[in-house]
Amino acid sequence: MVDNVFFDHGDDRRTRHATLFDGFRTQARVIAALMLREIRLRSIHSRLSYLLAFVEPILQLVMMMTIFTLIGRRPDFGTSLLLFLGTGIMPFFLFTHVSGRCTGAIRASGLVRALTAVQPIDIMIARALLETATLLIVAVMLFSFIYATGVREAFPIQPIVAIQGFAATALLGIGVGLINGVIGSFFRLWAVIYGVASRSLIFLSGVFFVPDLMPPGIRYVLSWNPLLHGLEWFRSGFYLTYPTLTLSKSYLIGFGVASLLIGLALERVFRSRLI
Amino acid sequence: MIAVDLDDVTKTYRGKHGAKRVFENLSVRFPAGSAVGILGTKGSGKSTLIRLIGGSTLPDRGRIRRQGLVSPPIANTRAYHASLSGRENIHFVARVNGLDGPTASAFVENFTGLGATLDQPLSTYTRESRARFLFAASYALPFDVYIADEALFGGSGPFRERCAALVQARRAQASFIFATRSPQMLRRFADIGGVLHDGQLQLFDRVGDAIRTFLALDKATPQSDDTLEEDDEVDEERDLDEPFGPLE
Repeated sequence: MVDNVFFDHGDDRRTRHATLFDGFRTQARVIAALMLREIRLRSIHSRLSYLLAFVEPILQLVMMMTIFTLIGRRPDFGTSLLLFLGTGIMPFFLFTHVSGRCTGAIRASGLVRALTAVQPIDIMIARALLETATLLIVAVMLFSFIYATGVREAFPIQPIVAIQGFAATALLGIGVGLINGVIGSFFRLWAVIYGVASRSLIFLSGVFFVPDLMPPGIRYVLSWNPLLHGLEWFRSGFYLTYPTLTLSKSYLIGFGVASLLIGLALERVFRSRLI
Repeated sequence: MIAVDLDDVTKTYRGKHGAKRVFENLSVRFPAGSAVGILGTKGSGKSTLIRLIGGSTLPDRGRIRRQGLVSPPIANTRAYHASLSGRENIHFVARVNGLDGPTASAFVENFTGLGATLDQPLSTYTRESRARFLFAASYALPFDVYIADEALFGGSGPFRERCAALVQARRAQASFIFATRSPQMLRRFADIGGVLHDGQLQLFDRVGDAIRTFLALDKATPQSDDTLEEDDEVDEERDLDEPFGPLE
């Protein structure tokens, strides 16, 4: 038996004691498997249907552009309306999609405790990461397109700042998503309520305006919205002279980390009752 | 060596008619490398015990330690999605457990003779091919511990016999923990017998002792006559009739 431990790698995982590293490796494997399954399930009807996930946000942006062009609106900042709206809508979609898709994740997967290795938290994380990756691809496609139309600013002047803003917004989305996931497995209606509430944030998050150009009173109220800071952070990576008086990076990250911890705590408390 | 270790486990079910305590301070050690067959009457908590071991329900208190990979219950459909093909479903279960998917699906293809059907959505399977798929897929992956609630093998005709032989082959490679109401199943497939009664599990080194204890208990409980008459087929069929999980 002892010989087996040294020579037979197949037996290795049975005899060795599990370490923290093994735990992470298992979880990564499970989450990757769940993400692949999710992509496959979203493209049941046709191999191309996952493309819809990419096209949908872009279509919404096109609609918005059309309306704004028709009413003759000029961008609040910079010269390109498309870039101004694009830099606002991408972090907004990132947050609403990631946090919203987590809500029904556990029930929709149909995998509640079907396999020992798959825990509810893995199902939520897998969906959140898949949504983040999808939005990242959409963002790269969108800004490449805007760049191709001749708007040179579409390549961020401070790429690192834009990436940081994107990552911080994703963190916020995942944190709020975990809380949603737990609430959503108790109240089915939560998906609808949260969907409406989060979409109305579009008016409060600075997609259409620059917060710093708002009156101080309004600016103060708006600054409580963590998503607004995500947009500001992301946008400031694109424009060199973008005013960032309102932006508080620590508020956004603090909010993100706090919601992540609350989400994890809720998951732990209600673990045995999550559906 | 221990395969699964239940330490001071308490489990209460909240049903429509109030809470029912199934186990209180249950401690059992299932040895690795042997097949443990657990006998119990209806409502003795056999299914709950198997689900606790497999992790599909969590204990209120206590710990369950598993050495190595524990399979989902044999022929259980919960991990499968009706609109995915048989092959895709096997690959998913393999991937989650860090096992080799293509080898497993090739095994299922050979063993069941399903051929092209294996690449069709599970929802289109006939009753017989569904049964064949479920049982072959359960034994296609090299788990360290296989668990089963009533259904250990199934299908019909020659497949049924080959499936039973497959169970015997897996017994040589892995541990088994299965619950049943049929003493016959114990004689055929178990090395160690267990009797579940009043929330306590008693293990016997000799299967015959377990069966005698079970039959004695069974006579003592008046309502049990009809439950013995029921063939294990009934439970098997119940499992197979379950849908493959929700469609999105």
